[in-house]
Order: sequence, then structure tokens, then C-alpha cells
Amino acid sequence: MTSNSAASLSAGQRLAAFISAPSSAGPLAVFRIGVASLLLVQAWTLADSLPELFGERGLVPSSVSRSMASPWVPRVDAVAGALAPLGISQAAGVQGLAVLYVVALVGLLLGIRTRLSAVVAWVVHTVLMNSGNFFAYGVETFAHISLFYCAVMPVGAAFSHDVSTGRLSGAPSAAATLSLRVLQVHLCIIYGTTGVEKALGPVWQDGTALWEVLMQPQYGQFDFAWLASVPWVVKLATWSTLVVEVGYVVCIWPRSTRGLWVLMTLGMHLGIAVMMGLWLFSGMMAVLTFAAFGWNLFAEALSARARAAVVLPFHSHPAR
Amino acid sequence: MRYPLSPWHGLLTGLAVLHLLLSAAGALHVPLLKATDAVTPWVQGYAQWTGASSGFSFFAPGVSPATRVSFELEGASGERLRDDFQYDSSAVNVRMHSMLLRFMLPDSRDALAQAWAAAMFGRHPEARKVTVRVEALRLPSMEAHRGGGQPEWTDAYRAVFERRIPTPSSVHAVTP
Repeated sequence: MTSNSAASLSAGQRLAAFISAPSSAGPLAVFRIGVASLLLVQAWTLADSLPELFGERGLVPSSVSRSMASPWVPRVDAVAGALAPLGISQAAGVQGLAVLYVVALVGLLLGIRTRLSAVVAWVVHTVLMNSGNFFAYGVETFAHISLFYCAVMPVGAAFSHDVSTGRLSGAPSAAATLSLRVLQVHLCIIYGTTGVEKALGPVWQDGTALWEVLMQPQYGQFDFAWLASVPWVVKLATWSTLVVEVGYVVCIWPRSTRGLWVLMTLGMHLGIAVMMGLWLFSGMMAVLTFAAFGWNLFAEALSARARAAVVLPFHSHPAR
Repeated sequence: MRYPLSPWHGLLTGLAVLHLLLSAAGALHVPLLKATDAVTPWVQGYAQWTGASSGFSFFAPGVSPATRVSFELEGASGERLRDDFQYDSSAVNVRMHSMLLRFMLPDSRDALAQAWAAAMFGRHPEARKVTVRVEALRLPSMEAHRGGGQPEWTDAYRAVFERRIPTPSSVHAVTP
């Protein structure tokens, strides 16, 4: 769409184009591949700890974790109870669920029966999360939201086995555009609310929050005690976090600031990964922002470079 | 170029808007769902299945103090040893930390400590007694740290559990 034609459209028509002009499912496929890859890594890192996390004699008895569980979502002990008449123990039931989850994630990653794979991964993840709720942290929240979106959005309509075998069309679609907008708006809700909630806290206002975080043995990957002698560095980092998160809602949309905000957001998550050791959480957040806002910029930059590489040789010889 | 909304796409857009409104309410901790008793369970179920009820209060509005748990075990002949919940995998350790943060919920403390003691008796079959000790980190301000103040672990919870005499029906049982 040219800028002249865009200017001639009414606000309603521009809104309609914003949510329904057919677009490629590329960003959604990047989202699918990134989420499935990270969750497979997570499953691998937790494989040896299933008995502690979900077992009958785990570290959190089901009588305790039930108090925090959703009554609308089944739990592992309910699934195990349903399987008990078949002679399947709770431990075997948990292992079976874990295997099913991993198989579904592999299907999701490769785009094999994408919708079915996503639905299975989402349902099993929800059941496991509702059972191991005492162990859950941020990455679980985003995995849960992401798997639901993978189940309902056309995430298999690009870079997938389903497209290469003709099961799904890879053509641009209005559904892909609407889905991308939902993902983008949801990210703005996430960053905006977490940024505002932080900004209301005294330790974020006085700029000392990152001192309190990085000095915790659980998070601090290095000895950060030296920060006490350069408090301005702590203040700068603390307030920069607020700027990135609160500013995300506004600055991620205009083309002129989008690239900068994507880079700043990815940089912030890289910092969280390196300094706090939260690699999976940071990876998940980076995947979400890169897929929703960064992929199209990246793909455009790549194709511009490719075009330049083709055109430039003809311009490099003045004699022609 | 104009893109008229088809009825199907219009319906999907309406559902998407409702989903995002629900997500915004969840993120803002706004209880919008108490309007009618008939609809509430369905909306809550939907929100919990889809993640629309999720909040995102990471380190907000404040930073929870660090906590750690350790176990002191005593064998039948009085020998002592220490253990903890440190694992080789950082992904597991992050989860242990999440569990410890929730230990501060008053209703679940004793039951959690009992389950941890049982886990320790499982790891150390020779142990007869285990002391569960949870500590919270008291962190000095940057200014106090420059003046020589140091982070300090303080007791937040302590309980002693003894192994019951094993019987066929209570091999893993513990008593506080």
C-alpha cells in the first residue's frame, strides 16, 4: 500500500486493513519454532526431576499444591486416578504425559500436523502447570499463553512440513494478520502492565531495584557487590528497564522507533539472561518480541540486502 | 486498497478483542468477572485455560527477599550431615527458588516442611532426625554496604522431624 493511498483511506478503513489485509504467516511460524525449541530445551533440562516436581512423593504434596490450583483444569493426580484402573501407576502416568508433551512439541517445531500438535502440547502443559504450580515462574506463564496461541493461530502456515507437503496453504491470509495483531497487542499489555506496576514500587522509583535483585545469590551470576560504589550505574539500569517496558506500548508501533525498541528489548532480555541466569525466560520473551515485531523488519532488511547485491554489480561499472 | 471485513473475520475479531480485554483485566488484577454468577465460572475457566488470567508482576512493585532452605540430618549414632535442594541444573534450581518463595504462605508451611523432611529421609535412609531450616536474606542498602554492612541470613522457619519407627504401612512417615 502506498503512502498516498493510505492517506486517502478513512480511519475505519485503515483499521480494517490493520486487522485484515492478508499477510504472510512468517512471524507466526518464527513464534512457533522459537517457542517449541525453547520448551524442548526446558523439557530436556527437567527430565530427571519429574519425581520431585510431579511425583506422589514430590517436594510439594498435592494436598498443598491443590490450594493454589485452578479448579477448572485437571491435575496430574486426576489423570493418574483415571489411568489407575488400567494398572498404570502415577509415576508411569507422569512419564507418559511428559513423553506425549515432548512428541507434541517436536510436531509443533517441525510443523507436522501443526494444529493437533499444538493442542496436545497446550493441554498437557496446562495440566502439568496446574499440578506443579509451586514450581512455576515467568517462563511457565508465557509458555502457557504461547501454546494456546499456537493452538488457535495459523502458526503452521509457513516454514512447516504441513506447507511443504501441501496439507496447509502458505498463502498470505487475513487470519495471519489478525493473529499477529493479537500477539502484538498482548505483548503491549504485558510490558505496559509490568512496567507500570514496577514504576509504582519504591525500589524502582529510587533506582535501587536492580541492586536488590542482583545481590540475591539465586539471581546474581557474578559478584555484584562492586555496584554499591557506583550507585548511578544501578539507577541507570533500573530506570532504563522502566523506560524499555513502559515505552514498549508506544514506541514499538511507529516504524521509526520499532527497530530501536526491538533491539533495546532484546538487549534487556540478554542482560537478564547473562546477569540473572534466567536463560529460558529471557529466550521466551526475546522470541515473542522478535516474532511479533522484529521478524518482518529483519526479513525486509535481508531482502533489501539481497536486492542490493543483485543490482549493485551493474552500478559499479560507470562505463555501462 | 480496501479490505472489507467478512462476517467470519468480523466474528474472529470480536472474539480476539474479548480475549485481549480479559487478558488486560488479568494483567491489571481487575476483577471484572464478578458480574453474573452464571457466566463467571465459564469465564474463569476460559481465562485459566488460555492464560488470560495471568498477571505479570515480575519484581513488582518490590523485590522479594532471597530465601534458602537447608537440612541438618542426624543419624542413629549421633553423626550429623547437611544437605540442601541445590541441583546441577539451573532450570531446576530456579524452580526450587519459586517453591521457596511460596513457602511464605502461612497455610502451607508445615505441610511443605514435612514433605521436604520426607524427601531428606528418602535421600538419607540412615538419618533418624532432620532439622528443616529456612532463612531469609537481609540485604543492606548500597550506602550501608559502602559503610561495611554485609548481607545477612536470618532464620525465617525451623522445624525438627523424627523418623517414625518403620511399619509396613508407614515407611516414609515423619513426625514433627
